[in-house]
Formats: sequence, structure tokens, C-alpha cells
Amino acid sequence: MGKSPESKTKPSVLLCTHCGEACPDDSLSSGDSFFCCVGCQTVFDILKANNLGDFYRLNDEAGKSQRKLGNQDYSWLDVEKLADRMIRYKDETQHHIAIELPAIHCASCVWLLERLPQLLPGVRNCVIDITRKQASIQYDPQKINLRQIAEMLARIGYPPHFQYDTPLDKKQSDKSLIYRIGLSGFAFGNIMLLSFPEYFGLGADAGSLMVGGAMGYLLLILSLPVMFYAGSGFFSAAWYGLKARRATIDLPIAIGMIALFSRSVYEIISGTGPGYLDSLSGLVFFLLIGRWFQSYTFARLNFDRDYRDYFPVAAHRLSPDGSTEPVASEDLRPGDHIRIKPGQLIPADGRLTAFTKAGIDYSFVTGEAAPRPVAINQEVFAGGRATASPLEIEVTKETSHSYLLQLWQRGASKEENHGVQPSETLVRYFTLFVLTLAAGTLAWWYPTDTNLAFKAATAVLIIACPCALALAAPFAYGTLQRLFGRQGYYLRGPGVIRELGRVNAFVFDKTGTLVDNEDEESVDYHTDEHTAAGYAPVFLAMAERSDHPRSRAMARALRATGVQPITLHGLTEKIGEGLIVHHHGQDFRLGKASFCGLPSTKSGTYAVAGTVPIFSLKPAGPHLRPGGKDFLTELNKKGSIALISGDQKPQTRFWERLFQPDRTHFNMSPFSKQEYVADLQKKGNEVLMVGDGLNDAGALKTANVGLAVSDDEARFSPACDGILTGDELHLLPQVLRASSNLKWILWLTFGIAFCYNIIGLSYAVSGTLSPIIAAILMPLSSITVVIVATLGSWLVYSYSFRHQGR
Amino acid sequence: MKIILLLILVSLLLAVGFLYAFFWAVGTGQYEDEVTPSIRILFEDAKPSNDD
Repeated sequence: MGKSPESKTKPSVLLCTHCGEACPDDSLSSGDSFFCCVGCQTVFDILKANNLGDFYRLNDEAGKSQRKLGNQDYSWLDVEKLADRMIRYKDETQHHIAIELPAIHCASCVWLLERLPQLLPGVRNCVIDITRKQASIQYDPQKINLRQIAEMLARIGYPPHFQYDTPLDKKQSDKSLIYRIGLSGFAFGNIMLLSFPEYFGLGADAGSLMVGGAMGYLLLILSLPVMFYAGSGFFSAAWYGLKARRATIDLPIAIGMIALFSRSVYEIISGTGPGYLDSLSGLVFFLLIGRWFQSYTFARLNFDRDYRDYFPVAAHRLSPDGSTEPVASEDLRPGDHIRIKPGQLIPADGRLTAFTKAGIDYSFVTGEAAPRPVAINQEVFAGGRATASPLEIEVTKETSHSYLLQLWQRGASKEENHGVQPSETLVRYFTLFVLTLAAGTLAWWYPTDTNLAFKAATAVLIIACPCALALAAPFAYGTLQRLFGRQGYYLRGPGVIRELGRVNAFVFDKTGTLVDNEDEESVDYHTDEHTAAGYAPVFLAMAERSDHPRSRAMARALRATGVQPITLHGLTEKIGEGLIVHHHGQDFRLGKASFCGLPSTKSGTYAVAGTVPIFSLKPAGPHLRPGGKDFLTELNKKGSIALISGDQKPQTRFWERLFQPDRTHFNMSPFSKQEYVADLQKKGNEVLMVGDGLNDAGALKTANVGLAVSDDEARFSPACDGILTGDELHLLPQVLRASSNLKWILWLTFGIAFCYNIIGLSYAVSGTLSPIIAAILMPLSSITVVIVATLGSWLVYSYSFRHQGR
Repeated sequence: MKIILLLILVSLLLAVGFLYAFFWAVGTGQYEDEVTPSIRILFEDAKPSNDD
């Protein structure tokens, strides 16, 4: 290239054919297409060579920039044990895998990836699920192996993300619920249809067919799968509840179902009546729909990340002869020597044995961004990222015992059940009430009419079945959960909303949560702007070649002024100091004041050409996310707010003014964050923790509700109860208000259900509950409750977000 | 009146057929991905385009 910095500010900007981003220069081209990086060019060339150029026609934003993607290492897939873990099905001629490709984002991706067999002979079939960003691939193990597939996917811009446990295992149970719903719906519809003569009082006309005839037995056959397959879950849940001496909502449901079924069987066999099988199947049908509604999840999000999703699946173990072999991370034993390539995470705690120049970036663990310099024999911790050069480490602890992972093992693990069931006390009183009433009815009628006594007592059990009680909460919370999704709040389950309605202490992480990392700094010129503009492209090129956060900030600030970088050769980086390059007879330095030959008393990052300071990075105040201050003031009215940050204490008193000084804590380790939350809980608070990184993982887990803020694809958020996008953080007060207001809707639905029950019970106690009244009353009460709960939560939502203007 | 019973049985048989179809659709995973098929159907089958 060799152009002087002055001539290099081009007015027209070349756009990369693959990703559409600006190209730094015109050095990478094929035909009349230009590229921003080698990665993009490679993808383009592969696609062209395989007649897949249509990729670019389908969508203007088809490609994703390849610049940020590091070199992925898939050699560990050669280890059969590790590869087998990823394979779902395998025989002699074919293997099936399902892998996550986080880069999938548009129709062009689907088009391209489903033509994978064209790119890779041996791949038989590739089916994409765009919502889950997942590819199901079938291939011939004789012709190709998993590593080759993974490497090709990475080369065309879709590096696979391998997980230990594919989420596919979970779907099995969901399917069974769908089957049960289908079956009970089928039975419900048909039994009702066949009972129509009975409803219209035509039973007598149909003569022998209806009461005591073939029809009764037909209905009984139809209801058998409902009772013993579709509804079996309620019996087992009630039984387990009883064994654990806990009253769950399933208990009164199971009692009601047994009463319904045995009474019907008795009536049909004795020929005394048509039975209540329509009510039974309707009850099961509605209850199962409630279950399904409440098990709703956001398919593309994963709330159960654990350390294995973050950590490398495999490491390179050094043999005594100097060669390396891939080995599963969990098979690492103390004493093993491993090599970590730049950009990779350290899989286990260890002792540093060799490096050329190195920094370890622990931002992943601690949240503190600056890389730490390292020394031989120094202890290193799992979760650190090698920044500059390969490291060699002697493992001292197994992966599962590493320092960081104690975060997951310590502290109370949260209750796994995120459903919404009525409280145990309510259920206990309700069940006792129903049983007492049934016994009372039996005792009242028994002396006068034995037959009527049993009829009335079973009728009480039937009509009091708490369908509405069981349906109100799932529909109310479930609807609100979906509506929150529209505002960018993705909650793990409806139960989180109930917790959100109770919280009264709010704890925030700073960086990445309250503060976004963009637009933090601007350029402060030390010469006139014209001279500075001439040098800027060189400094931008330097800044972009380094991974140091200060360099990245400098690059952002320069890019913001419209500068384009040039191509540089021979850049040297002094870790923790700065960058230096010799270009056109001049030394260009970028870094600390002392490194740039300026008085070391000055802080900040400087850019110096020769000895002339050109510009420096002017630190701006902490840049709160939109609406940051307002929502904190709002929250302060509801409860206490606190800040816990892993960063150094800043000079300004900015944060102390927002939060109380005694509730503003810096230099917090992941463990102290967790302890802080636990302390608040001990003092009787219900804590909401909002954080982002792995360093908040323990606190998020301990808190009553842990919300993770994510700016990206929600891919690397720690285990939590909910994920939200950073720009929506200011909606938190509204979300909380809606969550706590929802209880009024629940009381309303309980009231409605109560009214229905009073009507039904008055029939039941007097012994006049006919099947038709039950068949009308029970579904009607369920449907009313569902409608009121759904509409009500929608109203609560619109009321709470009324100023949002959506 | 007996003919009613036959009609009922035939109609039930039909309904069971639909139930089976539903089970089959769930079992073969047709409800698992509701987005991608709608994208896939828009792609042209005719492949190579040798532009430029």
C-alpha cells in the first residue's frame, strides 16, 4: 500500500460485498467485489465456486462480518468420545447431529445452509430451524466426519456452538402433554356430541340406546383414555404431594375426577343415568390446556446456562514429547500440562508454566475489563482468556472443582418449579371445606334417603372441583409473560411474575447493566483538527489491531469522527502500556502517557506522532442506559436500591448520588456479590438482582429474581429467571407494577369461581345436580375464568405501560 | 333406531382418523418449527445462476 497518512482519507467508502460493512482499503478483491477482511472473502469465494452466489441476491444483509470471529479450533471433534456426545443417532451409514449455529439470522442463511450437501459431499441433508438457530444434519461417516463439517460451517461464517446437553432432550415431555390435550379434547367433543339427545331431554325418545344402553358404554370407552392416560398426571402429582405431606392443587382435582368417574360408572352400569363423563373429559381438557399455557417458553432463549456452556469442551494436552492431543475438559487431571491458544478460555485452575508475552483477560469472570499481566508460576483461574500469546498451564484442580465453579455450587439452589400454583394453605382449606361439606351432606340425607345421600355427596365433590382455581393463575401469569416478551422482557416462566410482584430490594451491577459500553469517550484534539485528521487513519489502524478495551474505545471514538484506517505493518504491543508502530519514518505511539513520552502524571490514553501529542481520549461521564436516572428514582420509591460492581471505585461521586453511599459497593468479587444478596435476604428482603456477566451468576442465582441484561443475541447470559435487552431496562418499574397489580385480577377470578361454586353447590347439596347442569356449569366457569384472567392481565399490562405509546 | 348406532360408530371412526392425523403431525415434529418452512417455500428450485 504505502500511501502517506495524509492522502488516505477517501471520500467514497468501499462496502464489503459479503457483510456490507465499510472496507478499510481496496486490497481484498475478487472481480469487482471488495471485502473488509479475509474471512468475508473466503466465504464469498467458496459460495461462488459452488454456484451458491444467489446467497447475496436473496437479502442485502445476508452476510455477517467475519472480522470479529476468531479462529475456532475443532480438532477435538476427532476424539471419538467427544464427538459421540454431539451425535444424536448413529449407525454404519449415517450419523445425525443437531448443532447450534448462532450466526443464523435470515432467509439467506436458511437457503445457504440447507444447500450444505452441495458444499460438502457426504452430507446428506441439512435442515435449519431459524427460531432455535439450530441445524439438523445427516451425514455419511464413511465420507466425512464431524470435524470437517464444523470447520466448513465455520469457514462459511457459521461457527457451530457445541453444548454438552442439547435442548432436544426436553421436548419429549412437551409432546406427551400435546398428545394428552389432543386426546382429551377429542373425547370431550365426542362425548358432548353424543350426549346431545340427553341435553335436550330426548334421552327417553332414544329409548334403550341412551340410559342403560349401548351409548352409555360407548361414552365410558371414550372416557377411559382420558381418565387413565390424559389425566393420569393429576393422580400421580396428588399422590406425591400426599406422600410429602403437602396439599397441592392436584389433590382436590384428583378427588373430583375420581368422584366424577366412579359416579358415572355406577350410573351407566346400573342403568340409572347417563353419567358425568362430558364434565370429566372437559375438566381434564381445560386443565391440560392450562398446563400447556403455563409451560410456554421463549424457544430461542436459554435460561439454564451453566458453566459448561461457557467453558471450552476440550483442551490441548501436552505430551512429554511436545505434541498435543485434544482431551475433554472434564478429563483433565491435576498434573496435566495444557496449551491455551490466544482467545481461548482456560478450562481449569492451574499454574502458569510457559508463555512468551501474555495477559489474561478475566473480564468474563470478574467484570473488570483490563487484562492482567502474568508471571511464571503464577496461579491462573479457569474462565480467564489468553489475550496475546499461547499459554502453557499445569492443571492443579479439575474443572469441576475450579474456583469459579464454586459460584454454581455454593448458595441455596433456587426452587426449580417456576409454575404458578395456588398457595398450599388455600388448597388445604379448600380441600378440607369440600370434604366436610360432602360428609355433612351425606350425614344430612342419610337418615331420610340413603340413595339421595350418596348422590348428593358425590355431586358436592364433583361440582367443587377447583378447575377455576387451577386455571386462573396459569392464564393470568402466562398472558402477562407473553406481553412482557413484547417489551423485551423474556421471563423464564410465569412464576417469575409472582416473585416480581413481591420484590422490595433492587440490586444492580454497573458495567454492562446500568452503563452501556458504547459512546463512553470522545476524541480530544491537541493539535489543529486538520493535522489531526491526517494522522487519524494510522492511529485507527493501530487501535483496531489491539484487543485492549482502551484501544477499542479509541477505535470507536475515531470511527465516530468518520475516519477510515489504513493498512499497517509491524505493529508491536507492549501489554499494559500501549502500541507502537514505525510508519513513514515516524514513530506512532498509542497508549499511556508515560509510554508516549509525556509526563506520567497525566492519565488517559494518548496518541503521539514522534513527540507531538495529536489527540487523547477524553473520558466522558458514566453513560447510563436510556432513562437510567428516572427509573432508579422510581424504583427507590418501591424499595431500597443498591449498586454492586466489580470495577475500581471511580473518582467521581456520581454513583453515590444515585444510590445511597452505604449502598454503593465497588471492587466486589463474584462471591461478595452473592453474599451481599444473601445478606439482604436474611434481613427479610425479597431481592431482585439485575446483572449481566458471569461474575453476577452467583448473585443472580441467589436472588429471589435474577434478571440478566443482554445486548447481544441473549446467547451468553448466565443462568437466570429472565433476560432483557439493555435498552428496555428503564421499563423495569412498569414491569414491577404490572406484576404486583396482577393479584387483583386473580382475586377477581377467584370471586367469579366462588359464585359459580355457590350455585353449583346449592344444586349439589340439595341432591338435584343433573348431568346437564354439571356439563354447563363446569365448562362455563372454566371458560369465564380463562377469559377474565386473560383480558384482566392484558388490561393490567396496558394500564401499567400506558405511557409507553406502543 | 339401530341405524343410528352404525352412524355413530362411523362418525367416531372418522374422528379417530383425525385424532390419529393429529398425533402423527405432532409425532413427526411438524409443530416444532413454525417459521422456517414458511421461508423455505419461497426459494426457487432452479439452482445455478451464473451471473457476471
